Amino acid sequence: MTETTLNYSGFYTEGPRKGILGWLLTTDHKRIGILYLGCIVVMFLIAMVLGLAIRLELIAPGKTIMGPQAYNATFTVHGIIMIFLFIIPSIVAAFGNFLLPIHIGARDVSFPKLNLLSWYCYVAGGLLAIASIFTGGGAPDTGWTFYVPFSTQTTTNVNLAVLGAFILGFSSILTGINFVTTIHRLRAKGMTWGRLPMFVWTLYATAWIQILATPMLGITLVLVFLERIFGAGLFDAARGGDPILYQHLFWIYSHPAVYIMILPGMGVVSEIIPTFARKPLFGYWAMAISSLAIAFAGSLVWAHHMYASGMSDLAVLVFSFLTFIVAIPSAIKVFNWISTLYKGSIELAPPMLFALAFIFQFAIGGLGGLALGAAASDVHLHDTSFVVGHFHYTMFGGAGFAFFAALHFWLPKFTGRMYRHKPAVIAWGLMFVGFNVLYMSMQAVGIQGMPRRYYDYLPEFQALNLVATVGSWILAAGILLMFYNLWQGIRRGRPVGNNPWGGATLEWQIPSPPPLENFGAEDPVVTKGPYDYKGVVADEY
Amino acid sequence: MAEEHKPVSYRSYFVIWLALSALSGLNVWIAGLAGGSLTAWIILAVASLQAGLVLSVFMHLNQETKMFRLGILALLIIVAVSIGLTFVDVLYR
Amino acid sequence: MSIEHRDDTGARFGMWLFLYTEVILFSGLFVLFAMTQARFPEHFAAASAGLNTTIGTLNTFVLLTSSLTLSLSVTALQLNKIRQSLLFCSGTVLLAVIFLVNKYFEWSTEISHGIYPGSDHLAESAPGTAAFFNLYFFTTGLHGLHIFIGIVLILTVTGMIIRGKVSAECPVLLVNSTLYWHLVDLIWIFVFPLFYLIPRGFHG
Ligand code: HEM
Repeated sequence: MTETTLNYSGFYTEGPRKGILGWLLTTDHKRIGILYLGCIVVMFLIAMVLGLAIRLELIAPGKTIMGPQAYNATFTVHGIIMIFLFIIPSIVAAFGNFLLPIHIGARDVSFPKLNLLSWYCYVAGGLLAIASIFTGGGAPDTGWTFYVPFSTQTTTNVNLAVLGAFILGFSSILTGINFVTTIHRLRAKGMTWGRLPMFVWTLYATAWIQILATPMLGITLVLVFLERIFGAGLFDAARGGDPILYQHLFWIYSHPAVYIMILPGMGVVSEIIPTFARKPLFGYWAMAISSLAIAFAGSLVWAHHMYASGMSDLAVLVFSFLTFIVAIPSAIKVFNWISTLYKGSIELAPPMLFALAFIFQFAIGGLGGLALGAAASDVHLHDTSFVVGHFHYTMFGGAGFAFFAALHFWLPKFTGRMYRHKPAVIAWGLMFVGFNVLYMSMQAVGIQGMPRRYYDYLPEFQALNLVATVGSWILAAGILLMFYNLWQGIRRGRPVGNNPWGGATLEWQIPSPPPLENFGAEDPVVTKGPYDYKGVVADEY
Repeated sequence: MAEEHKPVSYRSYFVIWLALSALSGLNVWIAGLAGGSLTAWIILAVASLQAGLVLSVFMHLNQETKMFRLGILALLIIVAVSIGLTFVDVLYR
Repeated sequence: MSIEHRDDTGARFGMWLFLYTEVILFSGLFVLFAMTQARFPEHFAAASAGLNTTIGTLNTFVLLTSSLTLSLSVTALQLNKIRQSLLFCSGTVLLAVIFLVNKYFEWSTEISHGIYPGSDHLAESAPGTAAFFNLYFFTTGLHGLHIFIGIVLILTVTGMIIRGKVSAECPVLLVNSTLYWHLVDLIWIFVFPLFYLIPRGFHG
């Protein structure tokens, strides 16, 4: 690929301050998006190494590379980083910040300074979470769920981790407040609700969950913290407490939080599929409403994580029933994507491949979710590696792959340069194969009864665990190749024009990378819908 | 709806304050009369009435647009759901 | 529309969204309270009877009045009566401090009787009693923290009124602080009956 210099650098060089301060004190939503993106990718890579270490330990029964305590700490920190520092902020904070204002024709979010503050909260929370590994009584070993009573009694450094997660909650809340206000107040002229790109709709639904659910996590973590300091017995049955209530409070946040993870991913896929099928998104309003419906229904089902906790049988029945309701809007989405593809003129560019992998893997994860949502089968599957396989299918195979799809779709817009396609496709192939080998084996061995969160297992589980570990290496190779290729693309990819993919949303009508304040002197006026491809042609690159 | 709020007269604020104080007094009085769940519900109803007054007059909700009210509706539903569905567990163990 | 574009309605809306998060924060404690009350009505009745309802009622009036004065200061500012507005702000801060002082006396009596989270006395009491006082201290403590934040907020805005940064033309910071303060009041409107009034009525 020829090396060419960009003659335009957009917001990277424009701005009130130059140099590093221009980044650290910026209120430009695009710069904040890039700051988030950098941090999130680093966090992912760190936690990925931990994930590989877990898998390596499980390659054979008995102790391979670490003992029980190290293993507990490793999966806890892997979970905390992946959940709170990677997947929850990933698409929302990085791509949402960068794209949301452009998508609705605004020049920035409603509260740019709060936006910067949210990034600092993210950094502070992240530093605390990482500091908890090296300080105090050792890395937390409670699992990412901090279940009482163990979390209030263990001598490891739960305090710092809990404090870090609390501050990360602030970061998430500030983003949510910003997005809801921005979408309500700053839409350009002609940008009616019916013309919002689906990505914006999903961000809207997500932002409401961030606002209405995250504080519940905040208070729960504060209570764990206070309990560790005062030893008051808030969750101690002997002193009138109830450990199951902790689980209620925790999941009242954390279940809606899985929709914070997946909804923006669905939005990304809803942008990519129509663009590469050259057809309008099928069932616009069904898609928009189902995003809100997922957000709402998702806050009714939290206790399906607790069938085996000893809560009342009536509650098991009620929550099992409610859980099936969530499947409806999710299925609407899958069917609408398929209908969009039907008879489209499909181009299998790298973003599209990742989007298709998303649909495939999310469907498997979602169906596995039904098996777990039915109380009868859950009692058998609970706390086995089937659960681990299931949530990796949804969070990693779903939201994670959507994040990678978004990277391939929008990085040319962010940087003005195109990565090479052939290595991108190879990387995708490795990841797709590796991913499914890894987690399908974990699901299978889970059905046979292998429990999760143990460093050791019975010899009869050996074969599938070996396969899973080999899968994790293929997966990791693919991920590394992908990031290397993207990095090369950022550094010296071929320059692209405004619209390399032929998209119809607003970001494709402005230069790559976008200028400061996004649109020139004139505010944009929107006259057509986000998936109206008539007359839109992709630029050559 | 107006984008900018009209000033609310001192008088109206005073009237609301009187009503709020009277309702708090009422609650203390009711609590002294009898116990049990009926009383509890009455006390909570009075408190909700107070909340309504604070929201609409003190917090100017009556001058805001529909989008503000929709938000509050969403909030109340979520709070009710959290408490209600948790009771489904705790009361039937 | 440019980046400097001012949107007061948007700012108020953002503040409301933030207040929702505060309500959810407290409703976590309310969930715990409701469940524990349902499980130990008698213990809760006895424990609640030990609270000082006089101070509680007094504090309710103090807080309601502080809400009034802060509202009045908004009207005064909108009518460009800066001096009155400042007076009302200071009155609010004074009332808020009175609230905290009352709370201090209330807490110190209880603590001097050996009632505080993690105390030996509570560890030996009935389970419901311990749970009641744990929740009582954490809830009123969190609420007190909010009062304290409110004081800092109002003092800051008062300074900005003096410097003319907050004015009849640009009142939104005062309006938003008022929203915050009313919410703190609103939460007390529920905390007070929940801890001081309702449990007492559930003798066996
Ligand atoms: C390189 C890729 C990854 C590998 C090899 C990997 C591997 C694993 C394994 C083997 C476990 C099970 C530990 C056990 O229960 O004994 C686990 C747990 C977990 N993983 Fe991953 N994972 C990867 C990526 C991710 C991603 C992308 C996410 C989230 C988006 C994630 C979130 C979690 C969570 C939340 C847990 C549960 C931790 C706990 O039990 O507290 N992982 N991972």
